[in-house]
Amino acid sequence: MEETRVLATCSLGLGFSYRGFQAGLAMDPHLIAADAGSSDFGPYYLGAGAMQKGAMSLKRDLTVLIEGALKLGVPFCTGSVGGPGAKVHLDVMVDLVTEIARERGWHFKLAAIDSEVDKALIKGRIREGRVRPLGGFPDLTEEGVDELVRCVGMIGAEPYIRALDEGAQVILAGRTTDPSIFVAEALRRGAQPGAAWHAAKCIDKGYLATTTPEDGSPVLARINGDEFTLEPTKADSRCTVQSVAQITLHENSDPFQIAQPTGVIDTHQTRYEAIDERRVRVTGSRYLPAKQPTIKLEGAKLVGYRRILLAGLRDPRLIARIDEYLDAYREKIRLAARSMEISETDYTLQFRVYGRDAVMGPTEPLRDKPGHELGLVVDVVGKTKEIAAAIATRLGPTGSRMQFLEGMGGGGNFAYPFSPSNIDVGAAYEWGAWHLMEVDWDELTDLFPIAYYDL
Amino acid sequence: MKLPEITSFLKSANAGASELTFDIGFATKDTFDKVVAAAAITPETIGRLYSIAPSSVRVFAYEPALIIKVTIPRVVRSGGIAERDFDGTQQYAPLLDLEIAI
Repeated sequence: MEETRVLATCSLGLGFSYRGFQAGLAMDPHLIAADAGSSDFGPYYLGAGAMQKGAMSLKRDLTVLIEGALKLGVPFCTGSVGGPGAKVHLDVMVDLVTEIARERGWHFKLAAIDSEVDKALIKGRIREGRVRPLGGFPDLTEEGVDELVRCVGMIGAEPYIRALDEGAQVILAGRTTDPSIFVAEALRRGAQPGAAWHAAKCIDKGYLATTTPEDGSPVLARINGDEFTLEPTKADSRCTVQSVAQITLHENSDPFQIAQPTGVIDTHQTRYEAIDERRVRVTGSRYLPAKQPTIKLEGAKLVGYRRILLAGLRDPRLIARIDEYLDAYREKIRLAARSMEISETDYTLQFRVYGRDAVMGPTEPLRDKPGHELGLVVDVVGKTKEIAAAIATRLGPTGSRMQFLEGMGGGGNFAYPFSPSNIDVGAAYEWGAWHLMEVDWDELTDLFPIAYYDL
Repeated sequence: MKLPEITSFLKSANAGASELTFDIGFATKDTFDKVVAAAAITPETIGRLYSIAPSSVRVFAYEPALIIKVTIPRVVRSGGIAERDFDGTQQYAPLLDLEIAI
């Protein structure tokens, strides 16, 4: 079996070494790929349809990557575009790539894989008992599906394989499991799934697999039979056993098993060994095929509209009794809301007390040792913009002027860094779907339409 | 000894929307083996440190990377309206005070 070489940079838009990339091209890769998104930033970007990264940084990376692919005549793949990988993000990316091609006078076949999942389909699967929650989420109901602003399915390698079979040179895809973006070409070329999938996992964070991510060196995986090797393409960068092995753990709950739509990457028997100071060989990785393929659903629902107020607290008497003060403050806001005919169920009021437990909340072991000054973030989420604005109007005057202790609060309890003191943060979202949906084998491809553009 | 004195890195991050994961890295196999043998990082010690039930804590010793990995539930699901640290990056701080007898 022939070796398959895959060249990976890092999350699209975060930059990478140009010189390192050119050195990577000289290693004659069969595929160039980069991940473009993540759900780590919460449901906002999916709900709002907003791009996680700026167009100029995306354009720089895309231009260099596509130029490299065209030069070698090999495909370039990126997935989870825009961050959440919904249709709205895909459309922005198609426009961006079209613009680059026009400006540069490049011609190639572009594929855009849409990974949004039809709500009616999800409801049907719910009725068939083929949707189950992940990570302690409640069961998804049909009403819950209606509440979703958008819902994407995390696709696997199959739609990429189809797009490659149909001659695409540049592939932009919606939400994808990270390794799937990198594995398709190797599977097409007949690589062993264990080595191919684990290699894809090891390079899906690009230069994070090196000892010096700040150098931005792309990495090259060489997949050969049941083993693969990893090396940075920049001559002075290094991959070590530890730098490679830790990627398998990165942001996963279980280091030995990484679930994919069609199976599990299993590293129980994996061995990592240094070839030299900067290259690592990996053997023994397995891909355990699933009996039943699944697609992970990620959906965002709108919760309301948020305003926040930032205030500094410096009075030691107030800081010593901060919980009592916040309880009294909350009650005064409740009464103010009632006077405006806003019910308690129409808004959420939260306090984050920096200098005490804002970062860790109930898991903070030092909660009873606040600092000499506290930063208070007052956070109101109203069901409507008007409700949020109405309550926000009362937040400052009420909290600052409140005479919590005798002789206090005449001038004000709050030190405001900013005017205006309350800030419109916009729509607020929660994850509404974080579930696995069973699909049939042919649906791994057929559920996700591919649009082609001859640029 | 405090944990940072014997580790090469300590980090926390989200693992999906409802879990938080800590990677505790060691520079040498010798130290890694000693910490594993001493059973110094267990569901009980982590449970105490984070005020959570030991039964909700998973601990993995990942020898190839010389990393002890700890996964716990998030207090709230990531990025929602009660969020405090949506990337989970600062949640390792209590581990800095963990006493390890090796």
